[in-house]
Amino acid sequence: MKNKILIALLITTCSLACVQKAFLKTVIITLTVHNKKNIKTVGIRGNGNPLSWEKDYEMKEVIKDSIYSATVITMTAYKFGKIKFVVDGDWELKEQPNRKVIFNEKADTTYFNATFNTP
Amino acid sequence: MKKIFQKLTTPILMPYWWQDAFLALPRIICGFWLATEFGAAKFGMPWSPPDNNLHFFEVAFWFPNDVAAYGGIFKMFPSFFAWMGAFSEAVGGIFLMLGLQTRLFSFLVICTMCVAAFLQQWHNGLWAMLASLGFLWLYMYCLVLGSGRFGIDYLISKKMKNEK
Repeated sequence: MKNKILIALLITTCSLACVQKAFLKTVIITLTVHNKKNIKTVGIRGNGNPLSWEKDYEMKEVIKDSIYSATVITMTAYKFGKIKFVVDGDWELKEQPNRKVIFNEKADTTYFNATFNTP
Repeated sequence: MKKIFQKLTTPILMPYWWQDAFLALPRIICGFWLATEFGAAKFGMPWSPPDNNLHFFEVAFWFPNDVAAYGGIFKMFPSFFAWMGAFSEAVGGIFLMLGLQTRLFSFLVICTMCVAAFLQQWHNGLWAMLASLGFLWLYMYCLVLGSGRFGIDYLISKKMKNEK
């Protein structure tokens, strides 16, 4: 009986203690777009909630046809996230690796600046 | 206790060795896939992808949330079920490859695959359920037969028999 209680306690403790620690990370992403006019939508695709590879995460216009920005708040345990930008449904960096957004380990907020279609 | 251990360990042998070899093949291959692919992605093993940032024997942060979404008892103990499910794949896969405690780990994998097939993938249709159902059918046979001749269980059971 004692053994059973000990085993049950061990399993419970182990399973509670051994969940990977996740942290709330805020990523402020700024995208510069060149040589495109009358842009209607700019979005981010990527992994990890709230991003997705299927749907745009909308970026807001700062300067029309030039600078766009978005704030992504994500709960993650990974050291980085992977993203790509989409302008008017047109993906950047086709046949090229995704961008790596490396999370700031010392602070909650990470700043990421990129230029559309430039690795 | 020893009797239970012996019953759990002793495999049912086929009439010919090649039949045991034939049955061991899917057990070993699927054990390898469970340990290296499915399990290692969400349970910290030395060969887990470094991108996942998992420490040894740690379950991925997102997995308890997925498990909690199944509701009922899973919502009450999401960390426990997530840890057990990931453990059964990553560690169970190794044991099943080796044919060590085949019945015990087959049982754990069966439970995990039932949840994966009927709770996680049910609304995604039969194609989505196929992988988990494949593991489920395979390890149902292993639960009954044990490791056969090609597993450590066979050597242990032989030794126990000789000691008698």
